[in-house]
Amino acid sequence: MSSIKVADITKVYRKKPTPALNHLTLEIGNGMFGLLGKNGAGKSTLMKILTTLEQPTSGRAEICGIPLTQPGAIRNIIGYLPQNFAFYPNMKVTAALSYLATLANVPVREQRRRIEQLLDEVNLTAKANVKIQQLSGGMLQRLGIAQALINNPQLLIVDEPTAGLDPEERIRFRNLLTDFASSRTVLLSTHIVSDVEATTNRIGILEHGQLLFTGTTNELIDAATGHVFQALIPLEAAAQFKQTHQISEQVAQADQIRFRFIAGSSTRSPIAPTLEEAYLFLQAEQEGVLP
Amino acid sequence: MRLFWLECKRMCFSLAFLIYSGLVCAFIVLNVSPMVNRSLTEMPAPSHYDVIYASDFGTLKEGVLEQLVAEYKENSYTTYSLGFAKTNSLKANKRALMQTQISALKHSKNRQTFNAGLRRVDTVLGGHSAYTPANAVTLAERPMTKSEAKRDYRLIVKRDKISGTFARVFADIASLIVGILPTVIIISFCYSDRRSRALATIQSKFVSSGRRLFTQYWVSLIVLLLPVLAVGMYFTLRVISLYPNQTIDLLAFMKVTFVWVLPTLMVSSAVGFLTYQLFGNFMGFAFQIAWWLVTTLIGAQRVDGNYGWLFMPRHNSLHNVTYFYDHFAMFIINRVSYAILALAMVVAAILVARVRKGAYRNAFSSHHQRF
Amino acid sequence: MLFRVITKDFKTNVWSMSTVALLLACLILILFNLAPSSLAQAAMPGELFVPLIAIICLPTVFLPDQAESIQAVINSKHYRLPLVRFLRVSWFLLLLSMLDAGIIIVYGLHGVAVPLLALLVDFIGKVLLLAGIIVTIYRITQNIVVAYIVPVTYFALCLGYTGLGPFNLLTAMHGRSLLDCWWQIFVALLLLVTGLLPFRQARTYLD
Repeated sequence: MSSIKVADITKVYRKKPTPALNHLTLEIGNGMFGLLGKNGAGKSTLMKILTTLEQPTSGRAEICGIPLTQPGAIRNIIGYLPQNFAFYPNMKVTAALSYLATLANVPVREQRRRIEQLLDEVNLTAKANVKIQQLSGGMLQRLGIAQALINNPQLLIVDEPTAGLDPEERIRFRNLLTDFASSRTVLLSTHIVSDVEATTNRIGILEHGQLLFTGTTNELIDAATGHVFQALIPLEAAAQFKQTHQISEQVAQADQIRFRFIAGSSTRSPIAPTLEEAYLFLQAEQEGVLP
Repeated sequence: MRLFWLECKRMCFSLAFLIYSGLVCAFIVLNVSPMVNRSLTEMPAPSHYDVIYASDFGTLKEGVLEQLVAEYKENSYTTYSLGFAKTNSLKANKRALMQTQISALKHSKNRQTFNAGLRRVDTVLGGHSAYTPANAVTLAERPMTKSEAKRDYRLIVKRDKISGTFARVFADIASLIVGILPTVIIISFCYSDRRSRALATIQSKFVSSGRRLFTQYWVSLIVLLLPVLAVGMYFTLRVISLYPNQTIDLLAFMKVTFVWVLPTLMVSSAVGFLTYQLFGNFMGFAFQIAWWLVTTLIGAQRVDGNYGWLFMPRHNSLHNVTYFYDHFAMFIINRVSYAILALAMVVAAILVARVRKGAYRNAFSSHHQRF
Repeated sequence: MLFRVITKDFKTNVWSMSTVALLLACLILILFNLAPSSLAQAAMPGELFVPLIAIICLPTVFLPDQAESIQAVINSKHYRLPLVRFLRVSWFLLLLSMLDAGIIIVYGLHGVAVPLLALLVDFIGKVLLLAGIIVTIYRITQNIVVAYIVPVTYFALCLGYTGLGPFNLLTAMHGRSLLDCWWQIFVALLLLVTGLLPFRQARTYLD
């Protein structure tokens, strides 16, 4: 059974000419699923609808078989880490988790054990009695994950969880998510391709509120195969080259620059695309800007 | 200058400012309109002469003794600690002392001995009573004489030019509302910088926090005064329409807005800036409410002319014009003093902001390193 | 479970303002005569001072959760933000009502010749009315500044404006009948329901 079923959902905000979500249909099974998209693609809107923070203008959705018309029941089985997680700065870590556990209707006798376990899993045991305002960005995000898991949810929804984290924290966070995905469904919404690449092979790509692609990372890469090229361009010609090509990477090498670029076709030999290039290819194809 | 216009735009296009403007306009119009509807072009009938406070010794002595003897008989005296009316009773020993003081007052032959006696009465009551040389005049009410009423009427027509009389009442009411609301508007604007996490971004820019704060202060004065100016213009037009054949001072409402109301607004805004820098939350509003309430209650004891050191001077009367012109110098000193106090509070706010940023700590440590 | 929500929220978000309220309440002992000789005087603490404490305290109910991310975290749980705020408001209403009751008890102990029960209902009515105004205004505007300035302006109007009829907070102080408080309580309850009841967001499913 699919964990998440989204059927023809549309979300229109007042005073906005274009819908944030436009007849979106999507099914997500167990495990980790990465939802990619540019800023403003509609990812956060979808997250908010699935977490019952907002209602769709039209359409239906089910979370583990529970329709959106039963928001209370849905909230009992989900955990949500919003974009830019924050909480009362003067609360201590344990107190915050205890408070949120109470709000999540976790039985009192289970709260202590679960909090200790979660703090251990997210490596925050040493910070249990520290105020939230004293936590670093990475620690705060880990606390965010801990609170999202406080009610042992069947579905974990994380929205842009690694934005602003240093590389070490980012890797640690991704590993945490992958561990959690082994026993539940995790929906990871991000615009950072490497986060998806490191954690899952099942992705969806959202653009202007519509689903551009859903499938595996290999399928996305296959679609871009034959459309990624490499060129060594002298420095003096680099600016001109950049203006006429869709660049995915540029690395300076002495007095030349090694470009990787995306094109419909080229005289040069194609090279194996990365996931990020496959993503850029799909977007460029969609927008009709492929040279 | 650009910073000034940007801050203006930010404040003007906020919901808080719109609601504030509506509330200020409604408050002033509701309270002042009934007064504006009263006619000032004719002398009132003798039975309708206004009541004033007598300044002559005889009337004052009579009024004070009448009140004091009545309270002595009831053994129930009213005092006004911080403007709050409290009734007290005296124990037997103090009652005996009071009887002695009453007798002394009855035998006073001049104002000097009478005032000394009043101070002793006030001491027996524990202070804050009406029986002080400054407050005793409130016990000596009497209707105006015909000549006083004529003088009052002449001042209204010739010197106030009618609109000035209404403008005083307008300023009295406007001060009440701008004495409190701006504080919370300012605190919320400062708070929104922190809440939107804009503060670090703002503080890292070239513009110093002092310049920014000062600019925000001037912006707040101009923007928050706008509704008062608008209502002032409305009442100017109203007075013109009600007195088409009279010489009106067209600028009366504007003058009182800048001279009477603006210093009060300066203080309440400055309190917002300073308390936010000190506490970082809305706690300063509690302080301002307390100050506002105490001033309102003290002023309420004598609303038809009460300036002194009140941060909201009172003149909620279309008459008692002589009092205004006789105490004009004191009124101006009051307004200038509060304007200076407000600017001092803003400077203090800037200093606190800089200390919080570590400016002086860094300067101090680098000074030590150099030497 | 709700008790645990209250206690946990209390320490972080409510305790400091409750302390401020109690400190301000101590001023009643200094500023007012607790053996008043008239109804108008007896009404002063409860009609003039306690409503001001209410205006200072009640908008802070909404202050801790101004950040959208905090709202999102709490609203994704079983017990959501409207309940948390309802509990906070209820706490302050209880605190202020107890303060009013304390004043009445002191009057009773001093044998003050005023209708004590009617006065208590009058005092509590003021607090309820201000709470109703604040929560409804916040619900409509989602703006904490407006939640402060509207009740303050209303309070200032009550001091001098005579056109508010039975909705003037200074009922007994202005010599009006204490029966006016029933109108105030009625409107207060309507406003509290409007302001606190969690209405479902409009759903426009096209099945």
